[in-house]
Amino acid sequence: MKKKVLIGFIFILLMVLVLGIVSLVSINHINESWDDAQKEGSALVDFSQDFALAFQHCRTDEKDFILRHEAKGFKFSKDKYIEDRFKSRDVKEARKALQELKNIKVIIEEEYLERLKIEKLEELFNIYVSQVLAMVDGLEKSLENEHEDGSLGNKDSNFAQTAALIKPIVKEILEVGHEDYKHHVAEAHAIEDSATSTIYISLFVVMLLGAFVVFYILGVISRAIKTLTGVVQRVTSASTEILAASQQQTSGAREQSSAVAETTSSAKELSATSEQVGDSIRRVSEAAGHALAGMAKIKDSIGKTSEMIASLGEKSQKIGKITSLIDDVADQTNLLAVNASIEAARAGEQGRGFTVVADEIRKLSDSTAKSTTDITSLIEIIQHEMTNSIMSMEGSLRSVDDEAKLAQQTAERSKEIAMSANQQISGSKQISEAMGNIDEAMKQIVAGAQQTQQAVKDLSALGEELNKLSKELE
Amino acid sequence: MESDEKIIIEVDDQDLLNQDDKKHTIRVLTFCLGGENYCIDINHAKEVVRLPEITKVPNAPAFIVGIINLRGEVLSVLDIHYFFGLEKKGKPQDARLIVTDVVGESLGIMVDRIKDAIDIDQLSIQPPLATLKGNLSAYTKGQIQLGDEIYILLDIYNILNCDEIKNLRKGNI
Repeated sequence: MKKKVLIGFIFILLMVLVLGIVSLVSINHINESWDDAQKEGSALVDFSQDFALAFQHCRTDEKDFILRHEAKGFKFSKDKYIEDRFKSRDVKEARKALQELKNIKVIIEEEYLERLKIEKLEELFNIYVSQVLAMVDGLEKSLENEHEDGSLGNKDSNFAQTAALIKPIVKEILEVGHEDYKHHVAEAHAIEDSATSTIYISLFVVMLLGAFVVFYILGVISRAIKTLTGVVQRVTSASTEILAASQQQTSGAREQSSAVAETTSSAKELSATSEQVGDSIRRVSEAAGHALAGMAKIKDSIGKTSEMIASLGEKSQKIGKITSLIDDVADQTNLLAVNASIEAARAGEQGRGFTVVADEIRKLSDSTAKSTTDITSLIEIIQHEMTNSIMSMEGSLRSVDDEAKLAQQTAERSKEIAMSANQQISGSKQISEAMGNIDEAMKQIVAGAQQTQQAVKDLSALGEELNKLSKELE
Repeated sequence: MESDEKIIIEVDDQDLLNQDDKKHTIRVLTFCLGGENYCIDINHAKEVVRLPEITKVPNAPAFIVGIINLRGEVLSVLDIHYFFGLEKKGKPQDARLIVTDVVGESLGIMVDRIKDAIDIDQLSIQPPLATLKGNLSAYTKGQIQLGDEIYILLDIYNILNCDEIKNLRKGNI
């Protein structure tokens, strides 16, 4: 379509160009004809007029000269005016005019030669000039001779004759020039008319062809506008859909953004909770460490107590040994006492006092033996209780070991928990960052959707404008 | 005990050396044999010693445990459990040897434990129980009630003059 329209326009342009060329050519032609008319027609007239004028001046000056000469006498010496005129201006002009005439003669020789009597005029003029110059020479001579009367009257008659001869020739030339001018003007008019008609005809043709092309282009454009209208309507409906979609996208993105904000706050809460958990766990770990140290101390003190009890046991064993020694001594004492009693009995009446002593000694040894028995039983009780104590201490030691193991396990677990809490913190930070990125993306989406909406609105407005325009064009 | 002492003081003037004399109190040495309480007249005992190392004697009868060396004097050790059909009871370290010389030579009598040397009233000695075996009753002089316990008073003289020991003394010792 574009090609068609372009071709149409190029065609119109070409035709306008052709028309312009034609007009230019015609106008040139007219101008040339007018120039010709002026050159060929008016030149002769101008010349003849100039010549006539110059000749008239000559004549007038000459007459003036003669008149002044007659009236004032020979006062030439002070009056160089005429001389100057003859020498300089009028004669010069006359000669110049004649020269031009010669030139014209050369140009228009063929056409005007027969009709113009230029050669004759030249001849006559030369005679006239020579006569005038002769008159002037004569005057100068008479001036040199002081107040000598010249034969001006004769010369004057010569001038008049020559002038009379020149006059009709000039008149004739003038007439011929006028005729020729008229003829040229008529010719130029005819050429102008024909050129004008040519221009009119070509203008008409160009207008006809241009109208055809314009109608053709209009048809093409109309079809294009119809297509465009359909496209615009479709674009409008599509843009409405896009608008709705982008609005949905915007609202969806906003919802997502709020969800992201919630997630971010949740992640922050999680992070804070994890930090609290980490703190608590650190305290637990510290407490477990304290407990462990306390357990070690308890274990140590239990060990020391055990050692002390063991040494007590050893000492009680030593006491037992000593007791058995005492027991042995008591036993021997008892034996000695019995033997003493026997000896006392054998001694008869003399041994009776000794019997009492022996009895006392035996009683003492008996009570000693009884005491040692008590001590022995007490030592046995002590040793038994010591054994019990040691056993219970071993039990305590075992439970302390268990507690220590538990505390150690607690410390290890709490370290693991602290590590996992740290991991949770870093994880929630990553979540926060990711949520921030998502939020940024959502904002960008919203901004893009808003831009899209704006663009779609612009598009809609454009479509409406196009619609209006196409309706107007239809 | 104080009453006993008073009794002793009361009998202070009496002659205890003579057994046959009718004295009110006698002094006895009490000991344990097989869980039972026995006693002998203290005058029949020469001394009491711990049980030393006993050297076994070949072909000796069951009631001869062996011989010992007591301060350079060799003497036989007699186990009178045999006579009463008793078993040894009590701690080995409590076992004692009562040295007696009633038969003219020293003999050791093994007992489970020496208890005491006490004075008893002769009148409180009850005659031997009829339920005792024939030979056992020959070796006892009677029994004495002291508090809750009953003490059998042995006649060492008869025991050491029994046929088995008499024959043995004639032959070997």
